[in-house]
Amino acid sequence: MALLEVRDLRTTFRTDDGLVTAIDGVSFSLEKGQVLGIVGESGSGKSVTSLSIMGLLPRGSAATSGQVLLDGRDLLTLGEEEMRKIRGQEIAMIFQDPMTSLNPVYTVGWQLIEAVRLHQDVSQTAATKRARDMLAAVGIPNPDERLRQYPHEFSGGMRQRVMIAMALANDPKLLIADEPTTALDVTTQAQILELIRRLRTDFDSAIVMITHDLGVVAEICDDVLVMYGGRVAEQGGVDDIFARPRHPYTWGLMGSMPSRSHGMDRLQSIPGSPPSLLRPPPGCRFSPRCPYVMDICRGDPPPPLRQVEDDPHFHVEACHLDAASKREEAARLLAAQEIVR
Amino acid sequence: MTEPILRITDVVKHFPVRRGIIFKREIGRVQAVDGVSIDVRKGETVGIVGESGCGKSTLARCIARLHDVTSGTIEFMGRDITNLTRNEMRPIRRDMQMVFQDPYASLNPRLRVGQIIGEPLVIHGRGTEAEIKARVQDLLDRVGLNPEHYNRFPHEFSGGQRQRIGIARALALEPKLIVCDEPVSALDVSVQAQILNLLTDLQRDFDLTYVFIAHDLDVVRHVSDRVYVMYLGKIVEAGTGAEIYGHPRHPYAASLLSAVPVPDPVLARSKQRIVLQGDVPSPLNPPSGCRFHPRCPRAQVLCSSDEPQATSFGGEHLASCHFPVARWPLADPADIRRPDPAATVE
Repeated sequence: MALLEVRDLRTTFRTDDGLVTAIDGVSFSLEKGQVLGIVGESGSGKSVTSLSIMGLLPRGSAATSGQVLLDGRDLLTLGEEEMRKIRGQEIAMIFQDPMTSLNPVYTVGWQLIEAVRLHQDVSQTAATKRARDMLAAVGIPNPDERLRQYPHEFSGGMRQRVMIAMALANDPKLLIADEPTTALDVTTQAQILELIRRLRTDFDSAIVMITHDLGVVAEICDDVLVMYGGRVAEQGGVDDIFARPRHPYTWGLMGSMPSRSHGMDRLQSIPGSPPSLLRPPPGCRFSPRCPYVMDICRGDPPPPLRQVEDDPHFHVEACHLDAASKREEAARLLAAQEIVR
Repeated sequence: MTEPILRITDVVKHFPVRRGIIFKREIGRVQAVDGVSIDVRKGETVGIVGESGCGKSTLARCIARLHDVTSGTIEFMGRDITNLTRNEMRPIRRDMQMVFQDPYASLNPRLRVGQIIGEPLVIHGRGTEAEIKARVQDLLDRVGLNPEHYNRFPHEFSGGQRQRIGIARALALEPKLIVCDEPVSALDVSVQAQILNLLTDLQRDFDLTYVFIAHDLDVVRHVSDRVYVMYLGKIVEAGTGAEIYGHPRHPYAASLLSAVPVPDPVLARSKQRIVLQGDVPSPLNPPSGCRFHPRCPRAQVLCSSDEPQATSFGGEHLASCHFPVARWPLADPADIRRPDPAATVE
């Protein structure tokens, strides 16, 4: 049994302007020691997916359906009290902005020790030792001294390390990282990615990595879920998705990257902008921006997720275009791209 | 070779840090830009790349004279503009415009799009109201927006569309040079590609010169003819895109390049990375000698005492390093630490 099994997750928000279906039928499973990347642009539903799993959405205005099975237990059926025990202990989360995730008026040590003692019945001394060890484990020099410092005394990369230390303090089974490197410089990003790679090998953690950067996905993920407008556009193993992308949106994302367009005068951009989820386009949500759009794409129901025929592994995509054309187009587009090393 | 349209010579910008209530005394200086020289030739794109805090935005603001420089000179179209007053700068600004990073903060929310784009035309007295309106609609069309959106407010537009408005405003006076400070870093990938394509098209159609400042190495490589790499207020390496990206000589440039995620899982697995330790030191108290030496995998004793001078590596390629990177790409991560056999180590 998979560690985490998400089945047909849907989240709807009640807003003043009407109902917004932020995610519409997301399913995936994740084993120990595996990294799943959820990639998409703003408004694609990738962060709502993680907050729905964590049960962190306001219960009054957000309604979540489907199943989130952690070791077979459905988290969506649990009460707030039970969820609080699971958060931080079995699932931990790190966010994009490490400054707003730490409390500025308490020392880093205080916050780490609190995280330990909330979930483990240990003495102050043991908790302090644990906090110190975790800081050292994530590569923070002089951990004893650092414990006594406040968040403002840490740089952005160091703060993100503190967040990771705090997330790992109780040996969670699952770590959800929501754009953990977006606010960081590239050399700092490389340090944090290195750390996440080590977590996976040393601690056998399962990681959900939410990002907008296909480069980050290629570097550390095993599986990828490409989201667009709250729906899954394409999903599969990282090698399959990069070698045989089958959805026009994935093609657009790859073609938009300057690093895959070496020597080209123009990038293969996607026209238009991501859709409003308040009034999403009928049928395939990508249809207004899709260069391959057909009449069937604009009408309901949306294209179903289908297994990619020529892939032996799990690789699904939701697009009406016929398999042969997709094969040809993907091969043509990839042949034109030269990747910068 | 064409005459430079913009020549920056030895520009220094220090921000004094003062303490005290009535008698403010200076307790230090943030050395944001410390002796930077750059040539920009007509019709080319010069990229300036570096991490946050390296001084690249301060440099952009010095070029546009939004900051007064501490020392050094800025020559634009053959004229020294370093010490011009606001009034004297006004005619110059017709030829030099700026596009900013944040498309949300750089447009006045109370003005309509037509007013925002038309404002430079009004200030410089370019035509009657009707003429200005026609020109603004023409500009809107040119940057890929609907000319009928003339009367809308900025909040009605998405981030990418706002950046187009900012670009239309910069284009209004038909400038020769546009300084772009992180113009695409706040945008989604697909929209970023649209804006980069737009900038490329406009450059061709209007014979523009760009100074393009960004932290994203891939974006800079895509748009730039020549690239300058900055670290802690100094240029550490300069050259054409092919020279720098093909074989970086400065260990900092090499580390930056090796840290960029490769968007291909097979290549990513085989790539050798240089993971730098620690953080960028404070520009309030930069390290002695080479400013990169505390983090540099190749540093020797010499690096902490003597500041390296720029050395040529053929063509336009310059790097300031005592022990430049000899081999690229790295076959082994330890390569970066191996001293160049040609260099003599004391």
